[in-house]
Amino acid sequence: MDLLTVISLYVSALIVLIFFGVPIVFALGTVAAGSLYLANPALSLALGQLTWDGMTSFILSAIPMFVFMGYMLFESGLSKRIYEGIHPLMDRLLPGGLLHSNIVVGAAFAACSGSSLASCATIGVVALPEMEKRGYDRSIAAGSVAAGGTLGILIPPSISLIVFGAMTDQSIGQLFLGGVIPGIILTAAYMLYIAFRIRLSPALVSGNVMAERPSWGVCFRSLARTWPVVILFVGVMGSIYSGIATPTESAAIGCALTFVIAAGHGFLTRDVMARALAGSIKTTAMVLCIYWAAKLMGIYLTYDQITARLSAMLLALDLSPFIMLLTLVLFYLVLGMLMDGLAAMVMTLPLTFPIVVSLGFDPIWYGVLLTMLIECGLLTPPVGMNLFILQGLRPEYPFGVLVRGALPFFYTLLLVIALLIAFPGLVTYLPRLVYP
Amino acid sequence: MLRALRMLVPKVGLYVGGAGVLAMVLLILAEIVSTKLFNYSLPYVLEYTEYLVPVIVFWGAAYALAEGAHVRADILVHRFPVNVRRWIFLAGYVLGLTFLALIFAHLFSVTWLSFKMNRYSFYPSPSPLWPPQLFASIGLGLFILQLILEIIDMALEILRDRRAKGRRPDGGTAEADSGQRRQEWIS
Repeated sequence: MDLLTVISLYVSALIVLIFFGVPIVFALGTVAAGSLYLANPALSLALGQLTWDGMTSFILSAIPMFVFMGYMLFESGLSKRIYEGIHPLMDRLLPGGLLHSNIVVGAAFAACSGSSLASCATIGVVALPEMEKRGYDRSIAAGSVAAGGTLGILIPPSISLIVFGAMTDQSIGQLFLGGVIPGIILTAAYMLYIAFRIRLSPALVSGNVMAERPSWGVCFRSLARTWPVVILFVGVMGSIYSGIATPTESAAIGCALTFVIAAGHGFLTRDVMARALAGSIKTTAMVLCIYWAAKLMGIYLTYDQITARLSAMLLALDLSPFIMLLTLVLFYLVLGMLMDGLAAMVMTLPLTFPIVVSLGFDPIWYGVLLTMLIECGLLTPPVGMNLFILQGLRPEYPFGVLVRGALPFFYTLLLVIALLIAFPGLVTYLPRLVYP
Repeated sequence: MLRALRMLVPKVGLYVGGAGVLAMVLLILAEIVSTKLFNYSLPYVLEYTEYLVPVIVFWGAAYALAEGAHVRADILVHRFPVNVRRWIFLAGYVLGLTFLALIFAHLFSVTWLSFKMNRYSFYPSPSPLWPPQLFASIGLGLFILQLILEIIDMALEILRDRRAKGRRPDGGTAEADSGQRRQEWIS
């Protein structure tokens, strides 16, 4: 069979199965096993060994631990405490301080956990009632919470970057470093947008800012309560870059620190631990099952040299790499609107990664870019997870209000993505500096 | 029996998966302490941390399935009537069962081979491969069992709906006609 027929069959089978609601792990797995059998029936006999080899990975073991750490922070109420510690200072410093708090807390929470959904849920639970009480516009309030939540998967430690690293054999340390500058830029861009909007329409945060401005004493006392963030960030990221621990070991250190801090505050009950474990099992099993199926798919694509042949074909077309990249960006934006972003990344990576690398793009840069494209999917209907979380927290908010609030942040995210495409050095500078 | 299995299977998956996560954290912490403080790397830690990944994933997958956590893109399917949707989901699950059963058979045969040929891992302190492989295979078996339970539930729902329609000449749904039917049975 020629290449185009094979690719058309493969893509159509996946599209039909996925959009007919077959769980992604089954859709991918069935297509992978079927393709392997068709390519070489003897190869399907190796499915057991391929499964065992693909799943037993030291890098992958960081995922359940980072997820567990995030859930412990969320379920124990530590993340709520972090929010309460940061927002008085934001209130004092900036008009619409609570909106800025949502972004800053999202970044802080991201720096110690890596889960967007837990971050969004935490900020939403605390911030939405408070913003409502102060008469903030519902739309921008919800949008800022959803946007703050997106930072979780970009700012290290990021689960999506670990999955990317495990699938493409890239250094997790370099990927984490690559996410730092874009994470800071994105946080600043969200805050700039909020400041700009409030300047244009002060009514969005009507009549509350000056009246309830907390004193500097209150600000610093509250800020002092956020010390767990510093401890966790230093414990996790510091242990990696000081050479004390690998990313997997740093995840265990993060879990232990979270456990000790939560227990020290008296927040750690049996119930909290049970909920944290249940949440982490659900997320880990879901993510890694898709990873496993995609890994089998990747083996077929490599065996039949599909990606190599496709890359050669695309290179022969002599199209500009920029046009190809733009096509990929559009593809991921659309895919992110239709399905879970991480699942979209994992299932397409075996096909797109070799192509992007053969076009001459930096793999670390691509990992960060892809993670940001996934973030877009968290904010866009119809399957923007952060929007659903907010609707779950505030069922009285019409979905349209949530979407209207999230869209400007989505455009801001697109602008930052464009910036990273124009200046790849923003991603690659730190990894090259630390890993020359 | 079915009800007991429905309660038991996800719970077992959750307990084993949860224990796996805790064991992983403890193993790695022990390794860090031992390496940094005593300059001695504990044997088996690296290896067993790796083996815990498929254990957590496959045992946990049964729980995730029962909780509806395995993501699917259902934006198209949600436009279909409930009956059609059930059939589509059932077909998807049967497909999944075929895939999982295939992998289970092959993973089990890998385990059997490891046992029969007395295979050991390629680590400085080699350990037999079949125990972790067997444990992961059983986890995959539990995932399959949960999937079979989901398939049975879905098939029962379809059957119930068909029976309800069959009893009514106008082909209405079970929910719409349940009160009237109960009266008929009583009389």
